Amino acid sequence: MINVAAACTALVARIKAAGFDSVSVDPEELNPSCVWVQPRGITDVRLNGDATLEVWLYAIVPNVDTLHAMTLLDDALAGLLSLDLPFADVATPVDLAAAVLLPNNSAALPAYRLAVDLELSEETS
Amino acid sequence: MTSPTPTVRKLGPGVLTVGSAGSPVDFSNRCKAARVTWGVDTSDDTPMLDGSTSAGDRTYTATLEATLEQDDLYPGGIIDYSWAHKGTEQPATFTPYGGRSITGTVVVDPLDVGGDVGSKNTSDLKWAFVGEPELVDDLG
Repeated sequence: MINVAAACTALVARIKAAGFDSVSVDPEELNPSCVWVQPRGITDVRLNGDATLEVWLYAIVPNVDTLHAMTLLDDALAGLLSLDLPFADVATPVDLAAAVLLPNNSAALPAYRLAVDLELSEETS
Repeated sequence: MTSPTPTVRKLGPGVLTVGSAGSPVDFSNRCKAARVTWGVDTSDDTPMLDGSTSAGDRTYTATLEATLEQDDLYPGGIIDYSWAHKGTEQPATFTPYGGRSITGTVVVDPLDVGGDVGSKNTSDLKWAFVGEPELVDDLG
């Protein structure tokens, strides 16, 4: 059975292990600087029933001055890229203009968006 | 006696293997698409003196085709297997969704490796059957 929740939970744990303190699929739980894990779609269903889960990872930082925000986002992006997750098959795997409005913030926050693929299989989900 | 009603099925979950019966390589978990395709070569019809026509000969060929996500080149994986066994005849089995299977002998050609940086690259497999493949009952 394909289990999106389990795959996202495992990814959240993996990102936390890489040094990110605030990581969740639930934007209510996030406290910038943070990473929002957002499952987007299932693609590439394979002959044995396995599939690919496309996930968007939003690195989000507080509303500081632009250059400082970019520096913080660059650090977050480097941390996410170090996880060595394959890029999703989208036009722009790394979107540098992805401002996000979180539930506990009145203004949109600076963000980078990284689109990656996860493996969905009986073993991993 | 009534015939069973055929059922339209989606492809998968199924199995695609190549190699000897004792140690086949199962690459179903890398397979995004699979099919057996048929081709036919025909010779020209021959007109007969009485005005009738004698149909030309027909020669059928079959090919196993698949689209595979590339593995990390590990020993025993499908990329490694195709390179190590290139040009050889090997048994292959394609079970589209459980139940009956298609079996035969294919000539292994090496799979391409690589593609776009940072992406999951795929290889197109196109292996010709030696003779014709057969439909067989559940292999269990």
